[in-house]
This record gives sequence, C-alpha cells and structure tokens, in this order.
Amino acid sequence: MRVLSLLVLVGCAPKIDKGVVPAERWKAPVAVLEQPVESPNIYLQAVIAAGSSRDPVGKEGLAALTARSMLEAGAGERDSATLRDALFPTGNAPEVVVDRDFVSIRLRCHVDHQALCAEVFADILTQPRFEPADVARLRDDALYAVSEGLLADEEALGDAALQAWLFESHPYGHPVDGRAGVLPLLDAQAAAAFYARHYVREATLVGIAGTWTPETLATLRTRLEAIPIAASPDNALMQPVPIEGRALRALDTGTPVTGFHFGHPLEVTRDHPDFPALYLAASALGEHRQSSGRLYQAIRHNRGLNYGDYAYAEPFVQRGWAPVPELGIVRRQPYFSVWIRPVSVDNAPFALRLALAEVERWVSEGLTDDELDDSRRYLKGHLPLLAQDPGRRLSYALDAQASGTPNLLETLPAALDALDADTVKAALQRHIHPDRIKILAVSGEAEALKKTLLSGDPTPITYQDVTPDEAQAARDTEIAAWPLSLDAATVIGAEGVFR
Amino acid sequence: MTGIPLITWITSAAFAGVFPYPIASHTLDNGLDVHVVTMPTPGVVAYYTWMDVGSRDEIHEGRTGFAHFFEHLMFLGTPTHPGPARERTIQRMGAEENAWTWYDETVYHVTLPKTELETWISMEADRFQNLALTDDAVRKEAGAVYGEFRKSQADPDNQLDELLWATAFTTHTYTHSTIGYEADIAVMPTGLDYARQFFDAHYRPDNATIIIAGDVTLDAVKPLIDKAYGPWKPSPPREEETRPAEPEQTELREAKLTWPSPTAARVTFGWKIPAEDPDAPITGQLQLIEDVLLSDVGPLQRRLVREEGLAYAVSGGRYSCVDACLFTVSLTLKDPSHGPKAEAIVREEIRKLQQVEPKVLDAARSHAKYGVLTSLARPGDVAGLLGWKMRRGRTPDSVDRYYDTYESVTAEQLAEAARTTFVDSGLTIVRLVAEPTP
Repeated sequence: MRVLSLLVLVGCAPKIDKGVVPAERWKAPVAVLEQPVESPNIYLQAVIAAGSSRDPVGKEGLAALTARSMLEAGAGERDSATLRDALFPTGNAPEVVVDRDFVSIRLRCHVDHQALCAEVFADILTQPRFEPADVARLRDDALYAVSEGLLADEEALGDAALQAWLFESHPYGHPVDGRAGVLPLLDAQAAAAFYARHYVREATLVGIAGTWTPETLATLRTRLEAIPIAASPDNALMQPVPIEGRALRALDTGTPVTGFHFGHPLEVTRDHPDFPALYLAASALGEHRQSSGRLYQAIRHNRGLNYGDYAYAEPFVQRGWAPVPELGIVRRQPYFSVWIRPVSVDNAPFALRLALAEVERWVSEGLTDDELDDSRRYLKGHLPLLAQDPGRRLSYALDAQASGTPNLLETLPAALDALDADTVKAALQRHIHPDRIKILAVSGEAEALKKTLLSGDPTPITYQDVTPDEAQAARDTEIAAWPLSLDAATVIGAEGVFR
Repeated sequence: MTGIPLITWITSAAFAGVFPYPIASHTLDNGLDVHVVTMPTPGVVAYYTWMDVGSRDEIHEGRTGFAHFFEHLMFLGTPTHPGPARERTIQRMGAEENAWTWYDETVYHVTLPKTELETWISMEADRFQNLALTDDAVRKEAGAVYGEFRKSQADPDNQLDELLWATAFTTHTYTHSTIGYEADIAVMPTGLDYARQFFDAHYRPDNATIIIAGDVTLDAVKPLIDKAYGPWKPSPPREEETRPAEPEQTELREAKLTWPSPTAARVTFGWKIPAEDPDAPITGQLQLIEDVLLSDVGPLQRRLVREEGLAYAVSGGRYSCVDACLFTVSLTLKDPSHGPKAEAIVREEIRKLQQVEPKVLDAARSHAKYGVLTSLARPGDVAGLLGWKMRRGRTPDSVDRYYDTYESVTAEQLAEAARTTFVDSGLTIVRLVAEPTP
C-alpha cells in the first residue's frame, strides 16, 4: 500500500456559458495531480454539472431527484437494499450535495474497504438503476421537504424564500428540491432521462484522496471510462431581473418572532478580481457564527436583540452543526445577503433599520484600516481550518476545477494581502447597492410589520432590561427614524410558498 | 512539529484499542486534568474545556436554563482581556471558537492555528479564573438567550422532545430542557448575583477537563498550562447539594401536543435506561440494540420508511447520560392515520430483538467500529469524542473501554437487555398532531 494522495481529474472542467465546446475538450485524457497525505481513509468524490438550474421548466426538482436516486435507488448489480447492506459494515454511506449548478457525490471509506467502495462509487456514477419504488419515495420526501418540512424551520424557509425571490423567473428561482406543485409529476423514467442527458464526460470530474492501492485506482479509472463521451447540454443563464428600489416580502407564519434575510444578486464570482475584497468586507460586516462582525456587535452585543447577525458575499450553506460551510456550492451567479436571526416582533422594525443602516455605512465608508487588518488576519488564519481533512481539501480542488475558479485554499492568502482599504471600498461601491435590495421577512405578524414599515413612522427600540449609554441612545434615536424608503411591500402566507 | 508518531491504522477485526492516537495526561495540583492527543494535522490544534456542569445541575427553583446562560456569560471577558479586546484577539488568530451546553456538561471549544496556542492558553486560563461579570453585560446577554429560545419555538421536533422529557421525568432535572423555561429566561436579566454564585460553585479546576488534540505534544504545552492554570483555586470544601432523584416509573405515560400549522404527525417512544457507564454491559447492549434496530439497514427504516411507506423518517437511540435517562424511537409519519400501524410495527420489531442473527450483530459492530475510525480525521472530532466518553467514563481510556464493552455483547445478552428495557412500565409515548388554526 502506498501512503500517497492523488487527485485524479477525469475529463475537464464543465462548460460555463461558453458556447459549443470542441470535441477534444470533452475527450481529454485523464489529468493526475499528486498530493501526498497520511490517512486511514480513502475519499472518492465526483462533481457533476447537473444541478437544479438544469431542471426542465415544469419539472423543477428533477436534478435533485436524479442525484439522490443514483445513491438510493440501486446501482450496478445491487438493488437499493443490497447496496445499503453491502456498505453498512464499512460504517459509511455515500452522500450527495445538490446545488444550483453542481451535484457533488462523495463516499469516504476506511482503507480496509477501498475495493468495495471504489466499485460501489463507480456503480453509482455509471450504472444507476432508478428503481421506481425508491424514486417515488425520494420524490415524496422532496415534496415534504419543500412544504411542511420548511415550515418547521423558519430560518431555512426565509433563506430559501429569499433565494427564490432574488432569482424569480430564472433557473435558480426554485429550491433544489423542486416545487410542490410539479414534484408529483416526476418519476423514475424522468430521472433516468435526466441522468442520460447530463451525466456525461464533459460534465463530470472525479477525484480520489487518501491512501489507496494501485489496484483501486486502476479499477476506478477503467470503470469511469463508461461515462459517455458527450458534451454537456447548453445551460446558459439569463441575468436575474434587476431590482428597482427596496422591496419587502413578508412570509406570514404562526410564530411570534420576526427574522430577516435580505440581499441582491452579484456578478462577482470567485474568479472576479473584486471577489477577495467583497469576501473580506462581508467577513468584517458579519462573519458567519462569529461575534466579531459589525452587525453582530450592533444588534446582538450592544442591544441584545437576537442570537446572531451575519453577512455573506456568496451563497453559504451550513449542514447541521458543522462549523464550516458545505462545499459544492459554487455558483455562476452568486448573491450578497444578510441574515438577521429572529427578533421579537416589537423590535423587528428597529432591527431591520439598524441592519440596513449598518450596510449602507459599510458601503459608503468602507472599512477602517484596523478592521481590514483584523479580518485579513482572521481569514488567513482560518483558511486551513476550513479544510482539515483530505476529503474537504479534495472538495475545494474539485469545486475550483469544475467551476473554472481559483481554489480559495491556495489563492486567497495572497489576494487578501494585496488589499487595502481604498480597494475594498471601491469594490463595495461597485457591487453592493443597499438602495436596490430585496428584504424577506418571516414573521408571525407579517401584516402589522408591512404596515409599520410602509408608513415610514419611526420605530424606536424597546429595551427590556438594558440601559444604553448616551452615544448608543443617540444612535437609537437616529436609527428609529432612519429612512427605509420601501418601494413595495407584500405579505404572503408561508404555507405553499414553493407550490 | 517534529516527533509526531506514525500512526498504525487499525485493520484487525477486533475493537481492541480502537482509539487510534496516543494520549498523554497530566493533572495539576488543583485537580485540573489535561489530556493531549497527538495527531498528524500539521499546524492545527483543537482545545476543548469540558465543564462537568449542565442543565442537570439546575436544581434551584426558577433557574432552569442557567447553565446555558452562563455559557454565554463566559464570553464577556476579564479585566485583563475585556470582551471586545478578547474578541479581537481571537478574530486575529483566525480561530473557530464556540461553546455548547447540554444536560450533563458545558463545553468550550476552539480550533486554531498551532502558532496561536500559547496566547490562547493564557487567555483561556484567564477567563476561567477572572471572568468579569457586570450587570449591564448580563442584561444584554439575556436578550441573546431569549433570541435563541425564540428560534427553537417553530420547530415541532424540538417541542415534542421537550414534552417527552417533561413527561418521562417528574423530579430529576432532566425534566426541563437545556434552554430552560420561558419564565426563567425572562428573569435572566436580573441574574448577576446568581451568576456569581454559579461561577463559584461550578467553575473550578476539579470540575474541569481540558483536552488538546492535533499538532501538539504534552511536553510542548505542559509548562504553559502549569503557569496559566496553576493559580486556579479548587473548590472549597462544601456540602454537596442534593440533586433530586427520579422516582421509579411504574406505568405507561402518554402525552399529546397539537401543532397550530401544517406539519407531519409525529410519535416518540422513550424508555427509561441506566446512566452510561463504559464498563457496564448494559451500555454496550443498548448501543448494539440501537445499531441493529435504528440503523439505515435496520428493520424500522426498512419497513416503516421504505417497504410500507408509513413514515418519512425514523430516528432515535440510546441517550448517553450521566444519570439514568432514555432510549427513544421517533417517527415522522406520512399521515396521522398511520400512527397505530406504525406504533405496532415498532413494538413488533422490538419483540424480534429476542432472536437476532449473528451476522446482523457482526455487521452492526463493524459499522460502529469503522464509523468511528473513519470519522477521526479532524482534531475537533477527536477532542469531542474523547471528552464525551471521559465525562461518562472518567479516564483517558474511556473510548477503548466503551468499545471493549460493546464488542463483548452476545445475542443472548442483547435479548435480555431488550426484555428488561422495553417494558411499558418504563415507557413514555408522546404524539404530535397538526391542528392548523383557520
């Protein structure tokens, strides 16, 4: 056995809006990248350009159903139960992440089971069976997830509803799980057809990390030859509908709290020269689950209004209690967003005004030199923590290759070093526009919220138990009357929002 | 760092010595235990401080949720490192810092670049000895806890879980959830004096365990630890307050929750089980029952979710508690009318535990062993597992002791454990149904 890690790249980067690709590119020979590492495991991963933006109109949810069925509706010689039984003693099972542009399929195994895992992984990618009963069950699960399932997690609901609204009438404009109204129409036949069309050589990248035998790698390479030599269907994206002014959409729920998600689409992908500046600036405004950001300090720390307040320069998914973002979430059209966690209904209008005022100040003034240096130090120190195991390092490499963007683990430190306060401010002013923004509220008192915010009347903060100092009291008075200037506001029921 | 041992990855069939990394231990004169796990994770270290205090210790009237609230207060800083300065220093480290509280423990954890370890140790020791509590800060932080409470209220699983524990326990502090009762959260802003008492009572070196994992050795950190934590004063001799004991349950308990908006019906069974003791056969037996009954290939998933399509999801298992607690089975039903049939299947499959085939046990054991072996790549995961098992098993070999016990379970012992555990006299069933208001 070798103690060696290789990154095997089959095919080439999926096409991103670049028109017809010459045949040589999708017939390209296997590229091999070596990364020696000591590990008890092997990590098998595939990234496929087969995300939900490729769902046919009227079949929203098909990409996700296809991907999940590949893992859970039988593959190769095994039906779903036999496949599950075969992997069970390995202590691991394949997992899938479906996003707008890409599907990521991953399988981690102890080296003791590498032959079995390579075989199953190849079966999943090349010989999925799409057993109808399994596909139907997975479809029902998706239907539940986008209806009652989302109602049980109002913060996830708000995030999903904001994304759908930002990308209305756009291939990103529905949850990856699909829409409740059309999911019942999807079946195994549709999934098999989607698979045949999209799981082709040009769309697929495969990687392996950890410690494996030459036989495992040879088997994998041979088996992957079965991925059809074909071009990925064209998937050019239209521009999102431009946002005019500030609009509010309030989802009415039964829970007596109000949370906010607001933002707008961005053109700044990871390969854009302004990406490092926006990435750093968002960290300073509100690093995810950290207390250092301006929003957290203003809303939670100084005023005790809620549990946390964060900002993002690109789509951000966190699974369960994981301290790090999910990978496989790289988009051709990202968006900027702010997340204000649930506030009491009474203080919600104030919290929104405060958050928007902070965003406006962030854009107009930029960062101080100290803030810039603090955030730079944080991001550079934190970067290795985002990829502590070979599996995540492999995912970063595959995401970069698949999307044609830099691997942040490698490029970000130098890019951050090159930033100064003027550069960051200029990037903010080029790309972030707080006056043209969509504000999604999830509220138990949505009608009252809409009325209050539309009226333009001041909305002072009510402190339960805190006495603010003089400076904060003055700022509170200013914020209470801060001009929201809403151009539109609607209330819709939370039930059936993704029908 | 040099001196990282080459790890021999376990490939033998047995569990013996399942924990794959060397552990070096050190106890200070004040009783503080420190364990260092050396791992090949270049440049990265996880640092966990495990306090033996959780909502289980909330024995005073009107103070439910206080252990968790206190966890929040631990981020307020000290005279040497006031809150904002502390936050800034940690930000500039690039550290990933957080904390959590449960029934039996409060855990403060950070993963950070190894180069920052010296600074971290000095700051962390400072806050456990010199926490600055002010009335203003306590009041503001109480608002954040209220926010955390609010965000849990829309989740039916969370609410049903609270109902289960509230029904199953009448006296023991497991009857209330870690977040606490809303009435008690509402008075947290005025809790400064009680917070000081709480700190004095529980935040003592003999009530703490530090676990450091990653690119680090005990030799390298011992002088730093001794210097930083040496002055931490141990608990003064005092009379232990009595923790209310739970009377034995003698009959089936049932409770129902109605939900005001559309959601799937749910049912949860909870049977009383003993506290986790890594050396007690019942611990291994119940864990093996969980791995047979509730795994992805187990009979409940197969029948309820896949074959008969009665449930969206099945979950549950053995809670691992310091005192006697619960073994649960939870079902999210596709239709409320499926309830009786689904509940009957749960009972039927539990009866079948009297005759489990050896190959099923072998597969479950292999699943458990490789599941843990393959998940120990990150320092935080290793420190988390070791801390959890040590809270219950007390010694650094707790992970190995636990898996040794698990490995030795026979089919006959499993059957006996099922017979004595899954009885109606120790069972609580809670059900949730949606009754949307028009």
